[in-house]
Amino acid sequence: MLQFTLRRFIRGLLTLWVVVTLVFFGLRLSGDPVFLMLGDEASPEAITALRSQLGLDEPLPVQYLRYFQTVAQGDFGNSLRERRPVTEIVAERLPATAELAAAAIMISIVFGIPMGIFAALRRNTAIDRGLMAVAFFGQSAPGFFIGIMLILVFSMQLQILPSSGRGTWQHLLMPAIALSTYGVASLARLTRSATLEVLSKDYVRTARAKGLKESVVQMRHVLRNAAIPVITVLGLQIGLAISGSIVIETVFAWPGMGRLIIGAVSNRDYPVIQMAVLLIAVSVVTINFIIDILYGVIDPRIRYR
Amino acid sequence: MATLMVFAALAAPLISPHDPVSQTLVSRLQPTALHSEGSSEYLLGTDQLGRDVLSRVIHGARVSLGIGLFGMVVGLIIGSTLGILAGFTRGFFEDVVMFMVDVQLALPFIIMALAAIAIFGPSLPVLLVIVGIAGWEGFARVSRGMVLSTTENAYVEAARALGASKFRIVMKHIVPNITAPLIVLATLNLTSIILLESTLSFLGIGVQPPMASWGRMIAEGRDYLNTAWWLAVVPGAAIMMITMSISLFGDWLRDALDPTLRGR
Repeated sequence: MLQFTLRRFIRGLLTLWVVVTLVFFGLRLSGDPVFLMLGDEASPEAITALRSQLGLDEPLPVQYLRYFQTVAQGDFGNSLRERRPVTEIVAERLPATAELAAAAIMISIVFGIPMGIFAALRRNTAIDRGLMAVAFFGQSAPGFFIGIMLILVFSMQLQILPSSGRGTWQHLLMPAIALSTYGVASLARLTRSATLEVLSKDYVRTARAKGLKESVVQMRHVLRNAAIPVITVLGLQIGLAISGSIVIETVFAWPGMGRLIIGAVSNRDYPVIQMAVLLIAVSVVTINFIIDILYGVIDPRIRYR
Repeated sequence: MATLMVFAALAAPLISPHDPVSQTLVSRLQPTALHSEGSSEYLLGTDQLGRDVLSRVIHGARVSLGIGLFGMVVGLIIGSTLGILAGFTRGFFEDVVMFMVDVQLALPFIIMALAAIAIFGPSLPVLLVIVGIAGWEGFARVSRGMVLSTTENAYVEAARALGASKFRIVMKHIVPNITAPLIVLATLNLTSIILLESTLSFLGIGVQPPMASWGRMIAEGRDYLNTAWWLAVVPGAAIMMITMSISLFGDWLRDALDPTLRGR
């Protein structure tokens, strides 16, 4: 188990190394990063000062190592637009995104998994077909379009939910639903096929043949084994929720990281983008690492692959 | 439905009733023909600049499908070539390719796309490169896996024993056997690229005006939800119809090519 954990850990670190390297070279590919960081109207003195501060007058390998050092120290400089430390701005926005992503993941789990199990246990009935049609619909609709439809119905026509902002659970409801639609749909479809797969296994037939009650067979034999592929996909879902929040936050004017990133992309506020990319990479890699370890605990066979 | 969309995309200049970019300010925000105030001249109404929504949706099909197909083909070529080479040569090259696959799988692709747009600015060439890179890892992973299992077969061993060159073995014995799953994956990849393009265009950093794009049309229509709901609803419905029809086609193709998966 230790070796397995270590291997996964090194893999995660290597992924982050690739991301940091891509950001480093991306920054240099686009021309002089100093112009990107200071904007076009910067004075020559400011350019020279920042160039020596960033060590851009040194050879590339030295710059590369120095870049790692600053990133590791969490020094991302100042936002070009707001003229204050990027870390400060990100710290203000992070809780809103975490709240939205967590709510969306909760909805995905609470609705998606039972939908899939229910559909599988009633395979080829009207319930199965109905649930899968809903899931198929949810997987095909872009989240931002669902969001706009929700605003149209619940904020404009019925006027029962606020269309933008953050604060109460009413504010959270529509963005969380819009963000979770894809997750609910894909979890439902995956859980259904994983459950069907297990239902056809010999050990389920054996359990039934030895006279176990159907509920015991389902809880002890079917759902436990069907959980394995579902847990792996849950890791992907968290990554999707974080990236999906970028666009959903724009729809609902939710004051989180997503809106910060989109604003930064439009203004080419490079220090903000850099920190956001690295922060999201770190969180997604960490979550995948935890899921991998969980996966190894649940299904010991994985460790030896 | 998919055929209808492809037809709309191919014949856009012939079938669209109006020029998708020409503005007629006197007939701004006209409702659809179903509405009592609508006219048959603008079946799906007009937008805030008096442009015909139907013509823009038809031309948008061209943009969405064009960019989607481009991204799919580029991803398929890059991914399957690397995957086949990785599976066939093994060793260090395989490790490097699979590591890159893992990196791309581990990160939400839209983040990398946004970083690239921030660096290089939003433009069509940048968008094409982004959609080309999106999804190669899926093709690489599947084709490598298929190559690994196919090379175990007796017929590959027989070809090798007969002295066939590596190139011949790959082209004659391996590629034909891994085509089916790759085609199925390609249809899935097409829908995700169409969704990626519409998302980036919705955010204002994908397809740039005056080109008609469904994502951009939704973004513009969002400001008129109260007065002209059709501006956002029509292109949104178009995106859903195209992704649903491609997915259904992909499901049908998968069942047709691998009957053991039917009903899963």
